[in-house]
Amino acid sequence: MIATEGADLILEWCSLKGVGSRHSFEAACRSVLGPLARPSRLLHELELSGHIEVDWVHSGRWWIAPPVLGFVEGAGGNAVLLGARSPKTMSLLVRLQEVGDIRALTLVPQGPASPTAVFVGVSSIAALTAAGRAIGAEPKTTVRLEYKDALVPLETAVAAGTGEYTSSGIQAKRLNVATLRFEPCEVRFGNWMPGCYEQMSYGLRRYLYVDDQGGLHNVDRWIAVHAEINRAKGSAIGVPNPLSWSLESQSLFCDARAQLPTMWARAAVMCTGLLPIRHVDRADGHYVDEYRGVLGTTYNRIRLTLGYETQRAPTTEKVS
Amino acid sequence: MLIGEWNETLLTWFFSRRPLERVYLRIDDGELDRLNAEQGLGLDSPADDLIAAIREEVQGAPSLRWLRRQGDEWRSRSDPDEAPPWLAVLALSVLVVARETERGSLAFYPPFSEALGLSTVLTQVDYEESLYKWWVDLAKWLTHVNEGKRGLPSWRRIPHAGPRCVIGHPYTQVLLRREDSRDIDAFLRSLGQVGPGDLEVTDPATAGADLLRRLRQWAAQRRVSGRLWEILHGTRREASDSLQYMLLDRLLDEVDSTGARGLEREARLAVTLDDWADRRLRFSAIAPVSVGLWESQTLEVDGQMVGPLEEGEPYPTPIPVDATALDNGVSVVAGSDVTLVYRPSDVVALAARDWSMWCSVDDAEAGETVYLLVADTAAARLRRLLDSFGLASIDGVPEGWKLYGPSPLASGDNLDALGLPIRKAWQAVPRLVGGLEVARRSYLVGGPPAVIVPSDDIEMPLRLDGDPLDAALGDASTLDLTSLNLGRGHHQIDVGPYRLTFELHTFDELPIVAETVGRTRLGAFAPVDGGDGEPVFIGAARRPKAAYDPVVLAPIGARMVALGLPGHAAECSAHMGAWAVDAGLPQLVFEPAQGSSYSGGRRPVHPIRWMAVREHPASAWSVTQVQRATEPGQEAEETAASSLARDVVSEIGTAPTVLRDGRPDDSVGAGQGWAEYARSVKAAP
Repeated sequence: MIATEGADLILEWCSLKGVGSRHSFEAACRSVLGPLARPSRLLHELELSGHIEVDWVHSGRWWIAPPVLGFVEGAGGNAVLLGARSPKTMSLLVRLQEVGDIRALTLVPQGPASPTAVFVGVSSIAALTAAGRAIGAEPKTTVRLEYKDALVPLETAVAAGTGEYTSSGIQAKRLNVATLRFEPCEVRFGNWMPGCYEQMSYGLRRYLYVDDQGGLHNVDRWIAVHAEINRAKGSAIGVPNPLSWSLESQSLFCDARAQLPTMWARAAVMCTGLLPIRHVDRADGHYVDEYRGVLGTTYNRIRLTLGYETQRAPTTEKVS
Repeated sequence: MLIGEWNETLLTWFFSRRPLERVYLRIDDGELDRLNAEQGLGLDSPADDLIAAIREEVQGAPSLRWLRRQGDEWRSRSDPDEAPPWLAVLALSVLVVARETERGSLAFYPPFSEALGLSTVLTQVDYEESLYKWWVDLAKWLTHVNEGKRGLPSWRRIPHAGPRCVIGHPYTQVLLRREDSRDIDAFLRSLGQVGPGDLEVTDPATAGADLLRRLRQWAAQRRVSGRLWEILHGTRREASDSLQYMLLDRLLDEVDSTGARGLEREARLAVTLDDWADRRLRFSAIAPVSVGLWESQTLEVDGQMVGPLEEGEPYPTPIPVDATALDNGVSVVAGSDVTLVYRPSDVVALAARDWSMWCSVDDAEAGETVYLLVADTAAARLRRLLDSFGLASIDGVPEGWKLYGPSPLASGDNLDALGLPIRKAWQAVPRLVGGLEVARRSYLVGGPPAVIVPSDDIEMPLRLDGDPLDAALGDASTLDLTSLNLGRGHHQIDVGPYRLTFELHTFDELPIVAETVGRTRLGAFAPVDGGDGEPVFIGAARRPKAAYDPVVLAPIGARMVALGLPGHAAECSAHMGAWAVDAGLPQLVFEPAQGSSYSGGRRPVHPIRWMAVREHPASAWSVTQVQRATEPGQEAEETAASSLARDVVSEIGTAPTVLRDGRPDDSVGAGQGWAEYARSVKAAP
């Protein structure tokens, strides 16, 4: 039996419980990880890793995702375990390794408050299928491709959030594209100028993108930020390209002030099954998320759908 | 009136209220006058008529033998609609206590015997054989025979020893007036956070005294009725003892898993609003503490699944918020034994609190930001309060109602106009919070709950599994149990006279996952069976499933050669991402990605037809067919055979080990496939 603790214990709990509220998740997190735990961050990491789905905006609930044993390209025959898992899952994997049905079982820690990535080594697709069946997980060889091919152009995502919202705009903040930070602004009588806005609503930060025609779009924060960066390209102000890619390390770097929206982030995470690593950019001190092992084709799809030019990342400018 | 008519009248008046509501047989002369007027009895003196009817039945016999026999037969019939034959006698005992208390007398047996018209004074033995048992029978009848549908008794737990241990029942009924009960209800509101089975009272006398002390502390911070203040701080020990019994009774009702709260099958309907994206008023269901005891936590309302419900968390329903619902309330049966109920009010306050939406609340807090949904008929009463609120621009507010806000509630008289009790966190008894709870009071090993200990200057000794616990309390008087590394099994925490029990488990079973929700390509949250044909991603799975070809995995060897169109060949080296090497993953297989070119040889190979692998330098070659079908046009391509291709094919020979998914494939077709390929390489120019 592999002892479970910390974030892995919480993932196990989520798996057993199946569904819950953010409130109960936060209480559980604080019980296990202590008062300094950051439940929202762990919830987001579990979401990016394909372990759970979270309805952040409406019901505030999370649901566990079905277990999947997903083959990872470039991993030398290692598949990552995603979705629900229990102690029995782990003990079955240990037994499969002992009898030689799988070649390796590797636990990759991702930090004290992040879930451990579980890799299962197989020598063939048949072995992957057999191992998946043995632990009750769906064997898959194409998770990355499915996510990559599902990505839609940013305009489509923005259009899906089009609405008639006419809030007063009291205490709203507007995104400064040059600094990628939200700054206080004045919105009079619900008259929103084109831009990307943040406003608090019953304790939640809500985001609004207003296009050049005055169209209002209630969208995810990162959709709104990338839409605003794209809108500002035609202006005189310096507009950053938050994405870059390293051919040498096959790492996708993303400015943490303009993070990848959920589906885009998952497409990057599913290349390896590993969470992004957060660095400090030496050049200007802001945070950068590094998604390792992102193949060129996936980077291109992410870049094109979000509307950015190719940008190569220097390999030495980031420090953890 | 005859005693039977009085029994029926009293039953209707006192015990036909809302289900599970706590009921009192609160009788005094004033109450009898109200009953007489509202029921249209037309009696000159209802109290005298009640006494006369009972005397007629009792006929001066102190043993009350005839009524006791009738009572035994009534009990054996267990008829939920039949009034108890002695109900009027219990009412008379309460009336006597009310009159005596009013004139400052503690006498009971003599005045009660006189009221009954007995020839001698009723003895304690006679009382215990009759009225004492009848109070118990009445409680059982309300709780079990009627399943709480006529309300729940408020006199169940009178201790077997101590002051008023025998005749305590009638005293509990008249101790407090209606307005006093509201204060008690407000005090006990925090008990709503403990549910059936959550708490055990190991020392009732100490617990009762403790509750009384806490009520005194609580009352000192608020305006309570003069009568309640007098009971709490006066010299009448008997009154405060009776109050203890009442408080303890209420507490035990909350935690009794076979009692009142366990019977609760009602979810509150709250008016909710997501004022950002949805911008519509909705009714959401909020489950009570006992939801864990329900047969199913998922309900069906108008063909839509609602839930699974969690205690205290709103879940949207399809019930429309219209004027009829707001004016008259809603009661919808949503399951075999669960009812969704909205109780109407002309002012509805919606607060955010821990929910991710605005949700109607039954108490208010000064400074808290709220929306106010106000009936036009109540607007005048709230004019001063609404001065600071603007009209909210939310569509679909029912006619006759207006939505104001959001705006902070000012303190003072304006707040009183809402008619809501003031919210204040108050912890009267210890309770378990947090932890990795999988089932009710059952937690994962490593994730035990914390214990919230009542926070004030009343010290309570702590014990864990029977041993004294010398642990420091954290913030908000929280006792963190995680650091104690508790093992699997049952555990108990004693906090003064209270005991909290829980169990730690390791759950070995694989999770049962209901694939209900996922994300669309836009990243939007969506049900899996959305039905529009668009794929929905559930973690790493996908519905509907994609039809991608599997990637081929080939075992690693000492030497690998990719063979393409006849004559094309390339030496391959095992490829592995830098991230995988850094993560410490072992290299197990060679992975030719579909459609890739391999530039390790003199010419790129695309597509790969066969992979030739030699596990050791001296071992024989094995081959794996990568692509079987020939793509159109490929065969027609003029291909010059490379020396690598010729050499390797020659070295492999015509009958190598043919692998399929990493295992030898001895089929005739597999061998023939390689033989044909080898021939075509040799035939290439």
